[in-house]
Amino acid sequence: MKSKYWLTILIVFCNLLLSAQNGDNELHIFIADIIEQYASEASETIDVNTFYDHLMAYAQNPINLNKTDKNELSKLFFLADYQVENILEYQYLHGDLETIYELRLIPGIEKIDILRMLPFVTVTPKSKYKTINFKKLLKYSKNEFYLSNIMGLEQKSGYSKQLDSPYLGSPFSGNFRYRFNAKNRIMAGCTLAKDAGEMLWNRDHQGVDFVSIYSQLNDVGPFKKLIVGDFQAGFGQGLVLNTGFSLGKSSYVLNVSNRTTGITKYSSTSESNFFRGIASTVSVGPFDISVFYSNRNIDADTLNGSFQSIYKSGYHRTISEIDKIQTVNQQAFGMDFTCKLPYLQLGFTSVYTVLDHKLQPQSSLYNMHYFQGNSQLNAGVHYRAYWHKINMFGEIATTDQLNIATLNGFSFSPTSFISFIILNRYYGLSYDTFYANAFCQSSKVNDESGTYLGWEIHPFAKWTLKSYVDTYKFQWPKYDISSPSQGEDFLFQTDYSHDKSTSMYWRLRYVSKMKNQVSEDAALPTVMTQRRVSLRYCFQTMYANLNLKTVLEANAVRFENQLPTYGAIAYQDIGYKISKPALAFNLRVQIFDATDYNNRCYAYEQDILYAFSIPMFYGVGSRYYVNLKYDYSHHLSIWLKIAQTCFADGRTSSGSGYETISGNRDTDVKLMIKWIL
Amino acid sequence: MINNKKHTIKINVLFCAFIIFTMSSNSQTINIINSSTSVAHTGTSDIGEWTTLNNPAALAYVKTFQIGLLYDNRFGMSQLATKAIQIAYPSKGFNCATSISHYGYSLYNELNCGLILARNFGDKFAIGIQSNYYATYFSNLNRYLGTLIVQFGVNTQISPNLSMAFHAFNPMQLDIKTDNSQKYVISLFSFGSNYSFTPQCSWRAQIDKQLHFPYRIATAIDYRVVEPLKIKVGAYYSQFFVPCLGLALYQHGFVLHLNSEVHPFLGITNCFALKYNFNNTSLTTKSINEE
Repeated sequence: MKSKYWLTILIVFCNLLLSAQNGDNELHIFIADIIEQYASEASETIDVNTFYDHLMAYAQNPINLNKTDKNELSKLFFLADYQVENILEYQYLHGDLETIYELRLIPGIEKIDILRMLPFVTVTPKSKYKTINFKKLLKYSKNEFYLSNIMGLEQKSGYSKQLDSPYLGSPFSGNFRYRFNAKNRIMAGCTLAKDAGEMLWNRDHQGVDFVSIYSQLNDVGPFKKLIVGDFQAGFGQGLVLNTGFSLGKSSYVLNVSNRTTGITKYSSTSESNFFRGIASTVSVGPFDISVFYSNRNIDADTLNGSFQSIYKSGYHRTISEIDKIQTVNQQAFGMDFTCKLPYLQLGFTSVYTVLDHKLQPQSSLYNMHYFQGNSQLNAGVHYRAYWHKINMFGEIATTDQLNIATLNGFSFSPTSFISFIILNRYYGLSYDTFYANAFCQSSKVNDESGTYLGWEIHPFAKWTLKSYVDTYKFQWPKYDISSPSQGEDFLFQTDYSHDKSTSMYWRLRYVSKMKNQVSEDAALPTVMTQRRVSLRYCFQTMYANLNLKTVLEANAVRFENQLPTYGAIAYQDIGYKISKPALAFNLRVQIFDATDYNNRCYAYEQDILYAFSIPMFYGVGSRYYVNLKYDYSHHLSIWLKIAQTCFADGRTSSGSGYETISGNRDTDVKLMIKWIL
Repeated sequence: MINNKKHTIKINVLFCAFIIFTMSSNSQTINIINSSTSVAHTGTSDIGEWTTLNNPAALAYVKTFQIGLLYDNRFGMSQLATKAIQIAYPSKGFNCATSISHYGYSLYNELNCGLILARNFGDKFAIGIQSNYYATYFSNLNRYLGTLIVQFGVNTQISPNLSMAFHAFNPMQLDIKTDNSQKYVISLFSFGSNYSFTPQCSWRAQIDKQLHFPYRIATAIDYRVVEPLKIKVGAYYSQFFVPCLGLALYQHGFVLHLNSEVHPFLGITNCFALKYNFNNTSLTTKSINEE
């Protein structure tokens, strides 16, 4: 059986080798590269669906650089604020761009930026930009259907019938999405999702666990946007409201001011962080007025008219998880009023939330300042100004209890080859809101003060140096930190782009933070400083339809008065595409060696469409995956991913709780079918 | 007489078991993976020499039909020797090769048959894959049991002087299981780089990680003193420091490699390899680099 398996792989490989053909690289390589720049340093999985949706939408309907605005360009997350301003200023001063390569004349736009922008922008004279009527819109509309299935091959202990509370459903997980898009003017869709272990259909539960529906109209009548169904909202720097993707610390060191996108449809499978109701934005002269109303039930563990926390994982596999389904009603009324002038943007955001149960967090030292109650009013003023190459931005927000949070910063690009940004934030001890999502070190916009300084230099052609330093303080204990604490975060990266197809970077990161350490002879944990240094080297090259990527990363972690521990991860990616048959594959072979949990490593993985994985690795072992994409026709595409992790540290099981797998292997199979009408 | 013979066999078996155990603890180059013709086992990034069971991407740089024999004698013991024969055939689309190697002696031995394919993509990079049928003799069962093992490698030319390579042997950690026992097959991952100071002189560095064992760091310098002679000096460290020395002789299409290394406890390991390149009587590393 094994022999046949490997023989098949060998034959496929030979066919691929023989069928080498020239062609363009795929869009997803660009998007994956951009996402990885954010994700590779993330310590937890981030929901990048919105991010991906925006980029894919612009890939299908590229931004016309001669008819764009700051809001639209800001959705190209890889552009820094000053680059967006420079593009708009150039266009204002010199008129329409004749060709896309005119971007090279704009100060601060490097070759690598243009390469990243190419799939998402176009240059069309304004005169040729015709208004499209409704009939034509429908004619050019697209209906897309996506069906994906994910399955683990090894049985998890939660599916064993011998346990008291095993998972009630099957190990199969999957989702179905329908998308309708008419030139980004009319959009509608629905998402159905079932997680592994959830019931699909029986006496107590009918149908899939999560259903989400949306419809969005853009530029219709007086409405700039009108959404009915599920939506996200984000304004300013996200201190009051940002349920979407938030920019944090990454190797895009200048991109830390949030790119909130106002109201926008929600199409992710994540079962939290969205609104359900109606939302609209109306443009009146320089003013954008957005209002929304949301009414949805959220998951929580209720008891006697109160609940301790909102349950956000979205898993409803066991009886105790099912008991939490939609037990609390949450209503939200929100508005934003923004005035957009050529060099100044000023706005006011407010949101009022009402719950039918009282939120009363479990009494602990770290959460004693968290919000308690049935309702909360939250409001803030945000601004963004551009003056003589200085881009200023910020927001100040308060709750009805007058707890303050503020974030202010500016970026400055004195010459085309040097840019820097400074960001200062102060989030009050009791500032705890439902929808805040802004630049911060901890997982919550609460009790934090700090300063971030980032800079980027292009000293020579092909070379980029970038770095950031972030220092922060928490004045109250946090989860897993039993005392007030502080920390530093430092990154230095050198990028070298040899040509369009070959690039590499070296990244050094130093993190110092305080953390509880439990020792055997102490009754209480001791707060100690943990220092982590990691060094990463990445090399990428493309040749015709083939692309290679090599990553080597090592880290050392040391607690005070203890010996350091070491971890390493290395992988090799090979991507290949042939045009007949239209098949693309991506192969990774990876090794990891991080015996201590503190040395754990993360590696971004290419996945099936709309799935992003940044798995965490600790222990010793190897991993490999094969990702295949087959375009049967313009209408039908199929993705398949097979991934396996093999541990070599003598463990007889992996995972924990009901997710425990016996043996040293963990295999996932993912399949997706996309059908376009 | 019979008792004496039995006694000798017993001592040999015990000594071999000790050596295998010690090698497993101290070295990356155990069992079936024979030494490469690159000194200090730095063959991952050495595009000038392809050796079976080392980086298959190096096969992509073979320009002529080639046949080779290899004898890797560890610590002066014939029981711990690997014998291999390899044949490489370059073609327009891709290069292919086959190899057979044998390790061990009558009571414990391993057999490997390999089929290798490699392709050079515009000299910018090369990819190779080797499919091995690996079999071990189980004396308690009195028969061979085997499995298919895949290894693959990549070699990338970063600049005219610098190349980088990756090689993985058995990345899926496949092993051989019987009803009563399990034979682990090593999983080896190597990253290496090669820098050519001049066409005659190159420097290689390599890091290997064999799962279950410590890292191995190796380095080597090759210097082509005169057209028919190359001197190779290197060393590697994995718990012990092992110095290595070798030379290669080139004459009328024949290439003879003689490599030696000295383990501080286990003694000297010698590797002899003889290759013949058809249709090219003066194939040299220099000419490969120039091409």
